[in-house]
Amino acid sequence: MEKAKNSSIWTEAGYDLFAEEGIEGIQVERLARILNLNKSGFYHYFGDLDGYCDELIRLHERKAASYMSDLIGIRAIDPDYLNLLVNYKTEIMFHLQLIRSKDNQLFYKTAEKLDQQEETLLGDLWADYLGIQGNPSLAMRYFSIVRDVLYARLSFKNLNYSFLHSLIVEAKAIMQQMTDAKELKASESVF
Amino acid sequence: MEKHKNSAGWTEAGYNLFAREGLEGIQVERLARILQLNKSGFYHYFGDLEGFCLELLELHKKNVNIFIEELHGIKKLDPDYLHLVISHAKTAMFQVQLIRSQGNHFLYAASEMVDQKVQVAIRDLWCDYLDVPSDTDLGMRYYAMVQDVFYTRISFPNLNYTFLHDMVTDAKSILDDISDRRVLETAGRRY
Repeated sequence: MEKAKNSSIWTEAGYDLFAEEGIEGIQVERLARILNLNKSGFYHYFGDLDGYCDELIRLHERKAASYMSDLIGIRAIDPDYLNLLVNYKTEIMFHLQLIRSKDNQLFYKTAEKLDQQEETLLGDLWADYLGIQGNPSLAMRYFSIVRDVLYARLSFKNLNYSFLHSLIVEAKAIMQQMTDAKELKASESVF
Repeated sequence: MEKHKNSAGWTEAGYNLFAREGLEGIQVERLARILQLNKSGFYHYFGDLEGFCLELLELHKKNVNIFIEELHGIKKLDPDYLHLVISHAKTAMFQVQLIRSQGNHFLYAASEMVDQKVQVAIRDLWCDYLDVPSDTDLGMRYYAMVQDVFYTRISFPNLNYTFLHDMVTDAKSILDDISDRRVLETAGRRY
């Protein structure tokens, strides 16, 4: 019990650093300095950096589980889903760092797995938002593009409601105007 | 002349490292080791890390201009443009790293300038590919989204034709599928 408590100080501190800077931000010296602890504790609990990263991933999965259970309770993309992302700012930024770590199989696969879980929970809401009710799988194909726009542009500074709101409003408008244009073309060719 | 030649060795090596690892990859010690040169040369040519980064951005601009010149000779997005991106993999990955440098205003601003240049040059190819008119901004607003999918998902190992082809095909077919569905719905209401 005592062990879990003390080791969790190391993982919580590392989680925040990782969210800010990615794996490059994780240095044992630096963590020890931040926590005012001896490095030997780190090696005692985690063995090495790999063991430590495994623990960070486990922590992320626990936080993601709490995010997913909150996600189940929401009713609309805007504002509920967007506010949820803002509430889970550090977790979202940690997740973004995993996505960027393509060289690291564990990181990237974990991120992909969690993204898939989210997709299964979000389909109907997103289809409603886009105005293509009843077709969540089609809606989620578009969602995966919008999410990558988010992942390309998000930072701690801009992860707020107004940024997210303008981004998805633009994404929805583009989709509607593009398909309007195609629809018009199709109907013209019919007659 | 001699000075230019020698400083170019540093910038070339730095460019490669930056394309792989971003700003974190740039350490004077490490560059000196790779080039088997004395660190003093680095400080002689560039003054400091900031001066060096300015030179890297200059080199990036040059590489982007070469890319755009070649782009002007291209007729089709798929496969011609996709192959062009692959043949400029290093420049593309350098750009990806700039996009990820949101914390560094200077680098991020440089990435936005490059994006704008490329968007002007690719406009006709892209709108032709999507089969939307190129005289409105709509097609290019969608391009900006697909470009962010590229920035989020790309890495040196997956920067190949299959990956790029799947990415643009998917982006195009989503719009087609959504508008097909809407045409069907409208038809369903009519009869």
